Amino acid sequence: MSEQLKRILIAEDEEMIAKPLGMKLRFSGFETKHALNGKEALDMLSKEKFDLILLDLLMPEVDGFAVLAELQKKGDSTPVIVATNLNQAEDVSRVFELGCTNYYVKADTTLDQIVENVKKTIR
Amino acid sequence: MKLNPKITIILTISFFVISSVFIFASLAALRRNQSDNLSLFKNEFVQTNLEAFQDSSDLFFGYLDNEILAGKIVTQNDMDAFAVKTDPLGANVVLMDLAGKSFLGSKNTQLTELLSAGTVDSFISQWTLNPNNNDFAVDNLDKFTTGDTSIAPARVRIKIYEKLGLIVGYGKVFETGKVRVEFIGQQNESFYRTYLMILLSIFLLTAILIPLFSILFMKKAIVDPIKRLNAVTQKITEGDLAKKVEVGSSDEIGELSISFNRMTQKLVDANRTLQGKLKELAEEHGRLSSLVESVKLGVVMVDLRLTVILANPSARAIFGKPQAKSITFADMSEKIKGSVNISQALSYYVHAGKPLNIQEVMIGENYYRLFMSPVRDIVEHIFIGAVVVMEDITEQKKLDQMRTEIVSITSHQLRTPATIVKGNLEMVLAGDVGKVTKAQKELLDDTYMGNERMIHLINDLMDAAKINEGKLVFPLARVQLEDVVEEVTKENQPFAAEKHVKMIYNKPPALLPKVNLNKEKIKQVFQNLIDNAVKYSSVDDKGHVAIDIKNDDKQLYFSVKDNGIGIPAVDQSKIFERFSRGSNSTKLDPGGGSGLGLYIAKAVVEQAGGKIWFESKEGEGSTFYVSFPIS
Repeated sequence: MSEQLKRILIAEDEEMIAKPLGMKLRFSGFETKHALNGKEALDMLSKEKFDLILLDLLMPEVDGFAVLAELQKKGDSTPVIVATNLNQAEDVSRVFELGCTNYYVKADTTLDQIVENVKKTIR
Repeated sequence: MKLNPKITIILTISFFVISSVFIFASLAALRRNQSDNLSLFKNEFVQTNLEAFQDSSDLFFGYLDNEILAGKIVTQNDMDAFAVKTDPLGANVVLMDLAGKSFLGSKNTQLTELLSAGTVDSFISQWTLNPNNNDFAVDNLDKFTTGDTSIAPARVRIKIYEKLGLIVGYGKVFETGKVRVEFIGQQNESFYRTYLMILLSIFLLTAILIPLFSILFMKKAIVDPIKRLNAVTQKITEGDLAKKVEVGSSDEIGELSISFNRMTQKLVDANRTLQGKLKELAEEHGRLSSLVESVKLGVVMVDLRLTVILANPSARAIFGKPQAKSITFADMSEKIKGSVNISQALSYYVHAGKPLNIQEVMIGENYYRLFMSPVRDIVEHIFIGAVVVMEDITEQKKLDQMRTEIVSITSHQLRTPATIVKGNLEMVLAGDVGKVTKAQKELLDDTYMGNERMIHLINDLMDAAKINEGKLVFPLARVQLEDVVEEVTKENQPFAAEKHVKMIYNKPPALLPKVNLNKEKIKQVFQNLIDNAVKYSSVDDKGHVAIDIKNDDKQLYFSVKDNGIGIPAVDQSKIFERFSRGSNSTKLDPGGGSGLGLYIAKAVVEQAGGKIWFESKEGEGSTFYVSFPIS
């Protein structure tokens, strides 16, 4: 492949959710890495460069909000799409305040829709 | 007997009349006896003193055989002798000097006085008693003289004194030639004593018996009943209302007794009524007290100056003083932590007479809901203070938190497996991980749909929970409503086609004004309404759903009209309630919706300031309307 694949970091504590999502993204031509929690995600982000982050909110140890806050603090402008099952109004407004690009409720969204949005975001 | 003042007067007068008659009768009797007694006097006098009289040259007088005798006593010895001789009679005799007109003396001072002023000119030789006026005519003056005839005869007035039965005589010359003798009193001793005794007795009787009788009468007729009345009054005063006065007579006192008894009876009745009322009041008070004392709610009553006038045990415990008899307003205000200044709020509302509820304050470690109500005076209806009721909502808060946690768990934990199923099925169905046979696809499609329905249910339950908590709040933004409707219509076309329902969206020719909405949520509402319309449409391939959107100056209207089964009249009033479904809906939707769709729709629409309503007739179809204000 002549062109460098776009790298996506999936931060998701549920492996069974991360797996089909990762597969779908890879089938769609992305390179993915999976972090099981916020801490792992931040570690990876500090070592590697990603084009986009798919971020779950409720994760053990360091949650999605903390990851967003940390990125904001570091001035990291990597686009973040939040894919979570939290859908309280206050949570939604909070993640947008923390600089997320887009927000999906996983249960209400198909993998196709997410992939479409990813493509749209980092084209 | 009636106490008549006239009778008393008549009685008294009668007594006096009888007494007077008796007195006059006695006097008459006395008069009759006078002459007899005069003879007695004469005889005794003469028999005893004749010799002395004759021997004396001095004047004397006395009676002798119907004559008054006079003699002359010239020396002191004569006088003494005369006096001695007359002593046995006990009489005082006037001695007068016939010649010198001088008074010689008397043993009676009164006589002495009377006679010292008089002048005796001559003495009477012979007196004749006129029994009618007790005058004695003097016929022969010579008999009284001892040779000196130059002395003109004088009239002698003689008064007979009575002194305990003794006879005293005196004489006074008042007219020449005549001696008049007056008898004042003379009786034989026994008669006179009797007479005196009778007279005295009558006076005594009159003086003693009448008052005595009156006193006795009064005692019996007035004093005794009054005493009885008084005794009973005393008893009544002491509280013994059962006491009655004996009605002894039919007079005023009797009437008074009857009135008194009647009054007492009234008192007894009134007292009984009062006791009854008091008992009722006491019972009522007891009930109220035990209610206030035992109720788990804190109850505090304050007056207009915010002084605590009542605090029940629960209230005292809430403010950390369970042992204290009461608490002060300062105790309260310093412990209440909340967004409201309790004393300001109370002051304001107490004076304005308005109730106020404070949803949540913290007192110590616990949460309370406060209900403040103004208190009116029962009689005068003016505001006299306020009652503050404190309900411990700590448990409720905990339950609320638990519920929120459950919702959160539901949200995350239930959605997570649903998301896993969804994602993996999607991969398989897309054929990305290998070829799927037609039969496999069919089964997997159903599995996918089932999972979707589950996700839908989870979402509805979460929304309903939020509505219930009053927390269904979404950010609003300017939305072009036609876009939303178009999107939903498009998404529902496959479902309509599958159901053989003709679905038409009548797009307005010009752009409508934007409205303030949460796009996602309103989409969900329209989705629900259109889904219902299709689902419950006619099953005989004539199903028809019309979606319209239009506006006037103030409102924007969305409507979905179907020709389906309609909503039975009995269900119409409850259709927006939780878990409510038309009773005829199950045959067309056997799996069933959650019954939450319209409940959520209403909440979402109303949160955006809109309205939702419907028209429906069973068997003919329904039209649902949603309106939003154009802002």
